[in-house]
Amino acid sequence: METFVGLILFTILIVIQSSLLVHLNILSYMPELLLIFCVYMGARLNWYRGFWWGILCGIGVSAFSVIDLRFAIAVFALSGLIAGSFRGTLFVDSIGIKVILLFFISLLQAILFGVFYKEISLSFFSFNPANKYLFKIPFINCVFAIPLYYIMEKVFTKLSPYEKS
Amino acid sequence: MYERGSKKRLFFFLIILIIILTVLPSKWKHAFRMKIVSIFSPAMHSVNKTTIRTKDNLSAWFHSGDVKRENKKLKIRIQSIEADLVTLEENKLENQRLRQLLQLKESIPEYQFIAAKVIGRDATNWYKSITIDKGLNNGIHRGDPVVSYGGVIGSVFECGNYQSKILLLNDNNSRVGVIVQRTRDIGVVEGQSNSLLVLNYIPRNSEIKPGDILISSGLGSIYPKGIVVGEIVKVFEEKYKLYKFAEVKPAVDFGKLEEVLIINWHDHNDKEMQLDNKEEVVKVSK
Repeated sequence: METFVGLILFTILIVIQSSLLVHLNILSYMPELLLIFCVYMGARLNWYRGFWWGILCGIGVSAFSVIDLRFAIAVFALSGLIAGSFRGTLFVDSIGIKVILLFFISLLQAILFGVFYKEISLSFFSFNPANKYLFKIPFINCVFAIPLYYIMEKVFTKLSPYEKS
Repeated sequence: MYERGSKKRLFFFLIILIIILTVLPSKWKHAFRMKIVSIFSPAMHSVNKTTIRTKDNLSAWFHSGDVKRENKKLKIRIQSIEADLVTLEENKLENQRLRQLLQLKESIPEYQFIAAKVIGRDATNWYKSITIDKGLNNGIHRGDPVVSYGGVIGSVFECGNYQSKILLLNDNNSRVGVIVQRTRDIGVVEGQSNSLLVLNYIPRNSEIKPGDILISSGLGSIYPKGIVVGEIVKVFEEKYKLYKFAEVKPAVDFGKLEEVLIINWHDHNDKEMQLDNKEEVVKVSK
C-alpha cells in the first residue's frame, strides 16, 4: 500500500514539476520536488528502498529533461541511498532533521551537477559569486520541503508506522 | 326649519359653482383640475406602489417554484457564458500568436516549417529545455533549428516518434553563431542558464553598443542565416582579453513559449546537396 501511494505521489510530483513549477521560479530557480520526495522516502524507509526510489526519481527526471539518463539515475540513487543510510543514526523521524538532511543532499547534488555539467571550478569554496546558485537551490528545496514533508508524514504515518531502525 | 334652510343654501352654492365652472375659461379649468391631482398624487403614488408590490409579491409567491427553476437555469447559463468568454479570450490570444508565427513563416519562404505546441518544461534546474508534441513521424530530426515569432529558440535535442525535446538557447550547452546587424561583426552567443545570453568572440576594435540587434550568421549549419537572436544590453571590455563580450537579451521570452516552429533544415540541406550533386553531374557530363 505504501509503495502504491508512493507511486501515485511520484506521478503527481513529476507532473507538477514539469508543468506548474516552471512558472513558480523563486530566485530564478525552482524546487526539485523529486529530490525532496526521494530523500523523504530514503529517510523514512531504509537505504536499500531509498536507493530504488532514487533510481525511479532519476528515470522520471531524465524523462522530462535533456539530462543524461545514467547520470540522473546515479545522482538520484546516491541521494536516496545517503538519506536511507542516516536512518537509525539520527533522529530522522522528525521533519526538521529530514529537512536538514535534504539541504546537505541538495548541496551535494548541486555540486555534482555543477562540476559535471555546468563546468564550474572546483574552487567553489572560495565564495565565487558565480557559484551562489549552489546554496540557493538547497535553500529553495528546504523551503518547499517543510509543507510537503508535513503532508507526506500525515499520509504515510496513517498507512503504516515507521519501520524500526 | 334649519335643515331646510341649509339644504337650500347648499343647492344654491352648487348651482353657482356649476355656473362658475361652466363660465370659467378652459385654461383655469385645467389648472384647477391639475391642482386637485397634485393634492392627491402623493397618496395615489404610494397606494399604486404598494398595490404593485403586493401584486408582485403575491405573483412571486404563487410562481416561486418557476422563479427558482428559472434562476437556476440562468445561473447555469451565466456560468457557461463565462466559460465561453474565457475560451474565446484564449482563442483570441492563440490566434494572435499563430498570426505572428505565420508572418515569420511567410518572411522566410525558402524553408519548410513544422508548427508544434509546447507540452512540457524541463524538470531540473540544470537544463533549459521544453518538450513539444511533434516528433520523427512529423518529419522532425535531431539538430533541427526551432524558432518562434520573436526569433531563435533553440534546436531539437532528442526525437521520439511523437514528441521531441528542444534545448533552449539560454541553456549552458547552447551556442549560435551570430552577426551584429549594424557593424557586421561575427561572434558566438552562448546560454548561461538565466534570462540573459552572452555574446563572445567580438574583436576588441568592434564598435558594438547596447541596442544592437544580433541575427544568426548561418555559420555552423545549425541555424539558417538572418533570424533574430537578441539585442545587446551591455558591452564589457577587459584590459587583457583578446575579445569583447556582451550581455544579450534574447528575442524570445523562454518562459512564455506555447507554440514553436521547427525549421525542416534537415530536408532542406538534403535537397540542396542533391541539387549540388546534380549540378556537378551536369558539369562533368558537359
